[in-house]
Amino acid sequence: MAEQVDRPPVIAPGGMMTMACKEVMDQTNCRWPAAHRDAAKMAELSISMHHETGIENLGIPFCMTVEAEALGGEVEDGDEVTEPHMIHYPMKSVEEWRNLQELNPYKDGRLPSILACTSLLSKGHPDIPAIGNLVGPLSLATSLIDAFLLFKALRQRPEEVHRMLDFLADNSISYGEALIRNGADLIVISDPSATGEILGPDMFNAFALPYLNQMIHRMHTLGKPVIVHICGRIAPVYESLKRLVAECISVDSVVNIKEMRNAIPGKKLMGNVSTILLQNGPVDMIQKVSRNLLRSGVDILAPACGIGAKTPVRHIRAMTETAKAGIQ
Amino acid sequence: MEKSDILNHLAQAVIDMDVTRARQAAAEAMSCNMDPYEAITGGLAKGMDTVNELFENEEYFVPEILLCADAMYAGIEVLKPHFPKEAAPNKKKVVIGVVKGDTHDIGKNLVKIMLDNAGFEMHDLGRNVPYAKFIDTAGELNADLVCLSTLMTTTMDGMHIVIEDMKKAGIPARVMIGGGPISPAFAKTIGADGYAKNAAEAVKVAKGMFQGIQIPLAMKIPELVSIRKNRGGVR
Repeated sequence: MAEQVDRPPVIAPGGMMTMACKEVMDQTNCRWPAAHRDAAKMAELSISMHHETGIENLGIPFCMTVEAEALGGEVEDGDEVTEPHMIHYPMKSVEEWRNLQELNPYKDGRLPSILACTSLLSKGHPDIPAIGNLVGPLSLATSLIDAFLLFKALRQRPEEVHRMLDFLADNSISYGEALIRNGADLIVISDPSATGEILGPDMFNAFALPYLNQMIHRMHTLGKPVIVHICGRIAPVYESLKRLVAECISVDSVVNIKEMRNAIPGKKLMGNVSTILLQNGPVDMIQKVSRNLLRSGVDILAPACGIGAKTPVRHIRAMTETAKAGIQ
Repeated sequence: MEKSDILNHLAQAVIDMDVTRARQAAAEAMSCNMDPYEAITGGLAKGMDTVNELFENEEYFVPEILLCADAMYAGIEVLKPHFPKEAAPNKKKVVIGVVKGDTHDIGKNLVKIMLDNAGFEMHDLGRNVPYAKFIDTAGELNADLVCLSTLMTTTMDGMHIVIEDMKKAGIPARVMIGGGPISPAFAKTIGADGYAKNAAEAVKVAKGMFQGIQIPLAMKIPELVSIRKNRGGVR
């Protein structure tokens, strides 16, 4: 981030951890689904979210499908409150990664608009951190092939899965480099499918950790810090996470921050206000949960997942204002 | 071969994720004239119970569960032709699918198999099904029951829309819902007629709705749906 702060910042990264809500879309007339493919609208929506809610970053896109689309997956753009999602997987078996075309960040799918938007945000608002969002290789794979086929292949065709993940990590790296060249101040890698709860420690170590580290190393080479977001319970992979080279780990609302702090002392922790609570309220409960998280020692206060598009602005403010008030 | 040996083979094939051995053991059971329900309850499903324990103890994770379920399905496929079926005229028509926005369908597939075996006529719309497709199909078939499934919190609202639209379109079919993030309270709120927390319960609930169908089926199927409930927030 741009400068040292004397309290934990409060952010909503974008990407899988979507930062937009309908109330602000209506105010700005930058609505889903049009905003997903329009750099100017995307930028205005992100900036307005920052102004209206007090979230201390800019974050695009508003879904986790841009890499998969650029690699040949078919995406449906959703509606005004439903984010884009995959409707057709280009791969029917893990071997078929060989048929995928290497992505070109300046040409394929929505990537050029995301880069253009990143550049707009970075040049127009150099004082606000603009986050570049990537999807972890294993989660990217679950957007290119049926997740169950992939999970079964981890046992049935491990060598082929490794070759596929290597290919996907390379592609994500070239997109990540382009994001940084266009002004992204830090990188968030979301890897919701690579949870310890789904994979267990052995498979996490074999199929998630090395490829995440490969990506993080490259982003570090370009001088940018990295946050990794992992979903679900992570107790089974505490030991593995010590070897993750990211500066900061972001977690789901099921994770107990105090317990995680003790288990992984060296990492900065980000989290983990329930997005269901954020959407439904009430405000005093959001404040209470946010305060508890700050007391438990989160280094960055953030929603535990993507913000639901129906979340009221005043609920998000309840979280951001609590962070800004600090804890006595 | 002893009956208990065959049942053990069925169970062990599931635990070992071995599709081939599950098929062989199921064929063996049928050649010994074993009751196909017993081959499931005492064999395949019993193996799946052990698998669930291994999952709870964090020895098995999702990849293993999926391969064990494959072995179980393979065994059930061999046994299926031997199930006594309800006479065709009494069959209730069921439309089933995973709501738009979601592509997770293992729970839906289990419910489909279970209801099929319980004597319902199943019409599977697959996954990521547009709302209107449920209403159109239920109308065309004059369906008795519509089953909606989702694993993601972001698609839960879609169930509500389907129920509302069915009412508007005057479709009289009842609605049963289930899936990771769904609770009985949610089912009530959106006006569903029934909620099932897993595939076995789905059979009970569906049968309860239509007293006419009675097949003695005391099959205990693993709670694959509830196992995955923590993934509700995954996108």
